[in-house]
Amino acid sequence: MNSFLQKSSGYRGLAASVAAAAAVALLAAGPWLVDTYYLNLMFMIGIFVITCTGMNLLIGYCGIVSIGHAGLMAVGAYMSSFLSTKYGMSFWTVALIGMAVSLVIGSLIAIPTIRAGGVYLSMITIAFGVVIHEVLIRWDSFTGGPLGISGIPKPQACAYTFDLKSMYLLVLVISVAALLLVRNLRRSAWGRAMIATKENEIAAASLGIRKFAAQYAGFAVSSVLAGLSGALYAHTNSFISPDTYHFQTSVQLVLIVILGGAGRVLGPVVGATIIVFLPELLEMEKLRMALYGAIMFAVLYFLPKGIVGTVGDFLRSKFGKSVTAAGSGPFSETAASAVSSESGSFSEAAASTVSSGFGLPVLAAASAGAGATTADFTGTALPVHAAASAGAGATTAAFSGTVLSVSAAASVGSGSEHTALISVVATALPAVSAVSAPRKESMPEREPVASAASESLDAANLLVLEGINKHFGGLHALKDVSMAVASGSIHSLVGPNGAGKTTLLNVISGLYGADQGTFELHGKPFIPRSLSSVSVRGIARTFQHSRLFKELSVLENVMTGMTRRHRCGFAQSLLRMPKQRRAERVMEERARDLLDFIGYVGDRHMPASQLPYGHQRMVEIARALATAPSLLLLDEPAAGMTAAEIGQLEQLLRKLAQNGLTIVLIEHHMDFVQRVSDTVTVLDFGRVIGTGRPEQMLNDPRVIQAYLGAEEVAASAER
Amino acid sequence: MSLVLQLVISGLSVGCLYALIALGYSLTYVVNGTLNMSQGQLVMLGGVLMFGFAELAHLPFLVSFAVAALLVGLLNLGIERLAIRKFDKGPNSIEWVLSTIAVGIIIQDVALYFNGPDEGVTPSPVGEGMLRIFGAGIYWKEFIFLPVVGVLLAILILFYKKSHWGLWLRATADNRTAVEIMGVSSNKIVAVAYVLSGLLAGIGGALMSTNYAVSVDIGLPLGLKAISVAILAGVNNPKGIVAAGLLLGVAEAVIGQYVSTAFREMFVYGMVILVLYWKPTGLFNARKTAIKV
Repeated sequence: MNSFLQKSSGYRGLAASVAAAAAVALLAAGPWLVDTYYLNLMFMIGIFVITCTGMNLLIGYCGIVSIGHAGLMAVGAYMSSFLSTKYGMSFWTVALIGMAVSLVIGSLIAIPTIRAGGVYLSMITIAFGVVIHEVLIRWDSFTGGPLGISGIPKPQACAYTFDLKSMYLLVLVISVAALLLVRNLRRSAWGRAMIATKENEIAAASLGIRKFAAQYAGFAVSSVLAGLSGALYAHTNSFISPDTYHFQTSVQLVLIVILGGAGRVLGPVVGATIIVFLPELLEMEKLRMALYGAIMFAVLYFLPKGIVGTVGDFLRSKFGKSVTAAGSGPFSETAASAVSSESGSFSEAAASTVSSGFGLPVLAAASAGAGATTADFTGTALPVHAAASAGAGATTAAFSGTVLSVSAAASVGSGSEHTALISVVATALPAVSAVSAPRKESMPEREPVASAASESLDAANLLVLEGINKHFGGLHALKDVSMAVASGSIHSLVGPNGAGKTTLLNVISGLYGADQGTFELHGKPFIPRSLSSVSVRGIARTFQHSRLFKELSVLENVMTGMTRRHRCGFAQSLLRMPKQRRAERVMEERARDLLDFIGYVGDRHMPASQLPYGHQRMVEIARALATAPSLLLLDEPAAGMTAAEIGQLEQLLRKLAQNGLTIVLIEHHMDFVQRVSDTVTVLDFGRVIGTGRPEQMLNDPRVIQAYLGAEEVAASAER
Repeated sequence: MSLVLQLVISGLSVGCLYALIALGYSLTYVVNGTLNMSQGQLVMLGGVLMFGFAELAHLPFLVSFAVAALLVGLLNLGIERLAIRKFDKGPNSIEWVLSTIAVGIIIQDVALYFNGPDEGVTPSPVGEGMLRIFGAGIYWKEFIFLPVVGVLLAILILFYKKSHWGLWLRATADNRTAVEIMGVSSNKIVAVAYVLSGLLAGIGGALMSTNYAVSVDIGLPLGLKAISVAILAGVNNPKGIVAAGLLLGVAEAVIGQYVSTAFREMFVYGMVILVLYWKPTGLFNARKTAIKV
């Protein structure tokens, strides 16, 4: 079903490109359509778009608010003006130098503040802007003091001297290029890494994504663009003075970004247009900054996604494709169980989903009668296509049982919206995916390193812990914990609350450093220094609470797991080089396979925030698997899952273990632990009180005592 | 020798004002992880109001002082309600940074609109006399900051240690959820923290106006200097902030005397950047916040 949707979104993409090209062509005709006054304003919009596109990357993707970018613009402007007026260097050279110096100074600010993070960064960037402004006023010999630099030559190419019209066109080209670069970046592993670190630094680190690299890259791009726009402005205006680059300008830049919509590629265009034209419309001299402040406030209150974000969401909700998942959820097995238990409500839910989305009469009645098969197609639907894609897709491949009922509704509107609602229901629930298509049965593209290692050490222990100790102040959270995790086994950690299970997991995964103790991975010494370094060693983990990246789609979430292995160079991602596109395709394909593997059949392009909790947990496991680990650490994966979902999780864990993956599992559902584990280690008050077969351990009096207390044990012994 | 002593005392007295203002950041930051980026503008407002009440409206000194400080404190209550509460969505949220910056811009521009760009000094009640210590001469009106701020800090500490509000503030800083479970509205406590922080800003500004010329432009640089102090010390470390504030005041006085007044600010911010390279969580910050998973 997805190929069909993709085709339609392809058309939509084409339409968008045509519209964008037309808009750019119209803007390019600007110099011959408007007078100099308005051309000047449009030029200023272009300058702001260049700077703010960089800042959009910073604010929208990296979550960093810099309020000192006017200072970086000043660096580019003064550097290039100084060199071209003093030494007569050509614009093209000095613009490059201006960009480079801006990058260097931006880096000096960014490197310490990114590590400190958050509000520190905002404050330091404000201070930076203030300092630059001071320097501009006081460093007479370089900056010309309060009077600034005048007589800056216009750029020249061959014998042609640029005037306002040609500079406007140049700025237009550069701003379109900047927008395209940022768009490319958003669609690359780098863009996903930026959003991931912004949303959840710890989860990102657990996937091997380092916050510093992603955020520094964003800062660097924004510094270069700020320097460039500064140089462009200076060489068009012929005159610059410190007044152009004070705190207010920096605020204006931030305002442009959030007014347009932080994290929306076209946001700066809309924001800059409004902020440039607004004072012209209002003709107010006093209280202009207060007005900006008020607008900022109003945007934060009423348009938190900015204009582009709000309008875009509105259009999508009105005309876009609706969520295509079946009423009872995107997971195939879940749908099956829902039908088997209460098929009436299922069909009702399915029908309502479709009809509410499109207002078309939809008959998706799945009869409750045993063995009955109903397939109803509506109106001008394309039943053949829907059926074919259901057959070819992963949905059926993941099932072994007989297909009981296929209810599919595909509607073809006059526009470009299509949906296909397919739910495939299998008969024998427990047998799900026991035998099925071979491609889906093996883990998608297992990394050769990991599988080779797990084969050669088949009988050996994958991970060995010796005498691990961890203190939190006075609390001795782990006391001499020693444990051996056999390759390819499912090793459960159980114990009452506060026993130190999660702490142990955190120590293994590098979130906390152990105070004492040694680790061995694949028989070699191993020191878990940080989440990301542990991830590099082939250990993946999930967290007790869902830590999906909510802004990213389901598919992108899984793709973030592959960042470390498949991410191309930053320049390649900016320019969307063929090699990078190939890498992206590989990642996407693998992510799709992984989602198939865990049995996810819902909308892959849905924002992860819209997933039900249980499904978030499953997608999180897929994301962890995307790092191609040899060891998977799961912290209470079944918490918050429905009984059906737990059954599905059990299948998944079995499948993973069959594929040679080693799993360490923390879980409180004891029957689940007993069914799924090969070995159980019981922790109590930070100490290992036993390791063994699950049935043996869970009946051990010491274990029961740890859970229920001594009296219970005595009572059961008397009985 | 006497010059050095003079510089040190003078530096300490301006430093204690920095500390006072910087504590305003700390008070709220420990409670809910937010701070008012327009703190500097609040200080400016305190100073400008003080000058307006005392010099233009001819109110008695103490009345002007109290009214100026209270008004700024109340304003910060409004800021908390409008610009913080809605946007305080966990450690990664940036909305409150933006909203409080917007508030600062508005305060400054509105103050400019009503007050104009003029600057003024409120005559200090201790007069223009000089204090002589070991040959060093210092104006009483400057020196008086030290005991006044000392008393204020003592009151603040008492409030924190002895009053139930102080207890709740400390408890909220420790664990907001637990405080909620105890049936205490943590929103209310955050609001109290903001009022306190606003009071500190107002008092700082009013004090400042008795020795330094205040105008609507002083807000931003003062706010930045205070946040520099907070960053140097670690924003969740009140004792460190007092120490860093005093240190910065002295350093500024010495640099202003022996190096250049023009580059004094650059020195401050340069130092902050260097400290961040070296110790991102602040000079005096030993405590590491535990990550909960």
